[in-house]
Amino acid sequence: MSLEALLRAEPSLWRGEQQTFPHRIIPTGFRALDHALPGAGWQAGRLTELLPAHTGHGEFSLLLPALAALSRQGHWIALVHPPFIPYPPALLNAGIDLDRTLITRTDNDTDTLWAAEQLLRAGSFPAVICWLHKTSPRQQRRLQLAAEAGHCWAVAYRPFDQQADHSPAALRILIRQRPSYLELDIRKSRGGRLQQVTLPLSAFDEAQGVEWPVCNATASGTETAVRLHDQAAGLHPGG
Amino acid sequence: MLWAALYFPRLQLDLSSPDIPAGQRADTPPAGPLALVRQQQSRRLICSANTAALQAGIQAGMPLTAAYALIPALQILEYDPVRQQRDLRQQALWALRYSSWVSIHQSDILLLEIAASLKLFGGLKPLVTRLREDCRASGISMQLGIAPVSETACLFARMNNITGVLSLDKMRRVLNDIPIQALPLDPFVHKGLRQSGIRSCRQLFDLPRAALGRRFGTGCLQLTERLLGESSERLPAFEAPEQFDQQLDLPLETCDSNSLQFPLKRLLRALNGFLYSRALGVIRLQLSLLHQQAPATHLAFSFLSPVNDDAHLLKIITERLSRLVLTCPTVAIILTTRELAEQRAEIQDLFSGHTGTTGTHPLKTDVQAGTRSPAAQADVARLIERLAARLGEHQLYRPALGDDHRPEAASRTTACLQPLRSAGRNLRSRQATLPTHAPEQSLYRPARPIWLLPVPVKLPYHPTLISSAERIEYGWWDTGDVRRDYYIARDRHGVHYWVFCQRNSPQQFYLHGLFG
Repeated sequence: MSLEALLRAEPSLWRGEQQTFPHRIIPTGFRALDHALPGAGWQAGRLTELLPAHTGHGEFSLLLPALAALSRQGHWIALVHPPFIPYPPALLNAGIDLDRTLITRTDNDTDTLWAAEQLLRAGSFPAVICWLHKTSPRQQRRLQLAAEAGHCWAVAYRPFDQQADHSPAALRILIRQRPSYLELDIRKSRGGRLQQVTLPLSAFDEAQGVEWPVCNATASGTETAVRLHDQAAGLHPGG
Repeated sequence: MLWAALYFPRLQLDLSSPDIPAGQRADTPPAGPLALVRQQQSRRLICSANTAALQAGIQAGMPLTAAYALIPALQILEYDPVRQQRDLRQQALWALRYSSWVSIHQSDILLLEIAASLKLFGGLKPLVTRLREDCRASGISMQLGIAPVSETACLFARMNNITGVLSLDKMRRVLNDIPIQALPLDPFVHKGLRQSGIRSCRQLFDLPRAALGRRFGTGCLQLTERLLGESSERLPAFEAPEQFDQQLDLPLETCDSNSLQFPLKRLLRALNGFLYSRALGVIRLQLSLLHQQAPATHLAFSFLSPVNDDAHLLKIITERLSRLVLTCPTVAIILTTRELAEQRAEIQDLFSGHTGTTGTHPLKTDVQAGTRSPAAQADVARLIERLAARLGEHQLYRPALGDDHRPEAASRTTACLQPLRSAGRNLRSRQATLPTHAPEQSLYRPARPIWLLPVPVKLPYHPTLISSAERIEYGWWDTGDVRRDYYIARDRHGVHYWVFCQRNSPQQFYLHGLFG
C-alpha cells in the first residue's frame, strides 16, 4: 500500500486540496451560495452555524429549498425551539411535508441542546435545526460530534452578537439584510474560502413557493420603521 | 420432551432484600444477615437465608432460636405463601420468553419445556447461559436442572450439582448414583429405607415394585416411577392473563425515584415475557407508585407503535421518573398494560444471524435509503417517544394545516404521539390542487410568513406598508369573527412583518407574523 493510499484511508486526516466529502451534500437552492460553499451545498455530518442580524429577514427562507428537497425524498425534519410558531401554510408553500416535520418546544438551552443531540445521534432526522441563545463552545462541540455520529445536517441559529465567540462549527455565516439583497458573510468554512455572498430578494420567491407581492421594495429608513423593529425585538424570547 | 426445572431457593428473600447483585452497584455496602422464617406447628424454622447469614453458619431447617444464638443481629422475614405464589407467577411470566410451555410446580419451581426452544436460542448451551445471566442480572438466585423427565429435572435442580442430561439412558445412570437422602420423601419413609440398608437410588430402583409399594407406601412407589419416567404427572401449562397487571413490593420505602429503577427492571422483564408469549406489543402502559399514607401516583405512558423491548420501555419510564418529584415514600409499584396491539414480526436475517438492520454504518444507509422503511419508521417513533418522555408530550408536535382562512386557525398541531401517517399525504393533496409550475400559482398562493406570533400584538403607530391589502373575512358564523386587512410591512433593517388592521378601525395595526 502506498503512502498516498494510507493517508487517504485515514478519515480523521484533513486534506486541504482535493477534498472528499464523506457525507451527503444538500444543494442550497441558491446558485451563488452553492458556489461559495465547499462541496457546493450544505454538508451533512457537520454543524452549520447561522448568525442572523434579526429574525424575520430571510434567515429561515435560506434553508427552505434544502429542507424541501429533503422533504420530497421522504425525510424527516426537526425544528428545535423555533422563535415563533412555524406557520404551516408557509411551510406548505415552500414544499415541506408537514407530516414529517417535528417541532420541539423547549424551556431552556439545556433542553434544546439535549433534544437536538438526541435527534442528531439517532440519525433518523437528516436535518435538525435548533435555535440557541447562550451556549458554551463545549456544548456546540457536542452538537458537531452528534451531527458527525448521525450523519445529519445540523443547523444552529445563534444570536448575532456572539459572532466574536469561538465556535467549533464547520461553517459559520453571518446574515445581514441590505435594502434589496441578503448579505451572507461566510466567517468560517472548513475546506472553503471566506467570502461574502449576496442573494437578491427575488431569489427567495422560489424558496417560499410564492412570488413576493412587493414589486418595488424601496422602503427607506423611517422613524416608524425603526420603532416597529424595536417593538418586534422585544418579542424575541432570547432578546 | 426436555424439561428445564428452574428452582428458586429463596425467591421471596431475593425480592425483599435490597441486595443488588454484584457489579450492578459498587457503592452499596453488603447487606446484613437476613433470613426467611416459617411457622411449623409450634416451632419457627429458617426457610432460607441470604449470603451473609449463610456465611455465618445459618442453615435452612434450623430453628430460629438456634439462628439467633449464632447471629443475634439476624433480621427475619415471615414466609408468606400468598406472596410466594404471586412472585412465582411473575417469574412464570418472565419464563414465557423462553418456552411456550411453562408450568408452576409446587411453590418454588418452574418447569419449562425446552425441546421446542432449542433451535430458537441456538442450542442448549446458549439457552442455559441466557437463563442464568437473566436471573443473575435481576438478582434472583436460581438453580437449574435439565432432564427428559420433569420430576427428575426438579430433583436435579434441587441438588444443584448436575447440569443437564439429555437422554433417558444417561439420566438413569446419573440417577443410580444419587444418595437416597436427596429424594423428596417423608422423614418416616427415609428412616425405613435407611434401616433396610438402602443407601443409593440404584438399590431402590432394583427392588421389586410390588414389594416397594407394600413396604414403603405408595408415595415412594409413585416417586420412583415418576423419576424414571415410567408414569408421568400431568403438568398444567401456565396461562398468561389477558392483561399484564403485576405488583412488586419494594424492600425499602423510598422517596428517590432513581432507586425505583432496579425493581422496575424486574417487572419489565416479566412484562417482556408476557408480551413475547402473546406476540403483542404495548401501546398504553400505566405505572402506579403506591404510597403508605397518600393516594397512589399514576403515570400513563403511550407509544406510537407497539413496543415489546424492555430496554426501550425502561428508558422511557426512567426519563419520566427522573422528572418526578415524590413527596411521600413509595412502598410498591404496579405495572399495568392498558392497551395492547399485535407486534410486527421481527425480521430475522437468514444469513447474518442478526435481527434488524446491521452493518458498518446502519444510520448512514438509512439516511441514504430515505426514512420510509418500517425499521426507520420505528426508529423515528422510538426517538419521538424518548423526547416526549423527557420534555413532556405537549412540547412536541407536528404542524398541520387547519381548514380555515383565519391565520390562527390555519395553524394546527398534531400531537407527536399520534400514529405516523405515510409520507407526503398533505403535500400531495396540496400539489394536486395547485400544480407547482403553473404560472398563475401566485394568484392562489398568497405569501405567508414563516413565523406566526401566538397572539397578535397591538402596534402603537402606523407601520410602513409595502404591499397592497389582502382581506381575510371569515368566521362570522361562529365566535371567532375575523374581518381584517393584511399587509406586509418593513422596517429599516429590512425585516418584513405581517401586520393587519381591523376593517372597522383602519388606523390600529397589529403585528401577526414575521417573514423569516
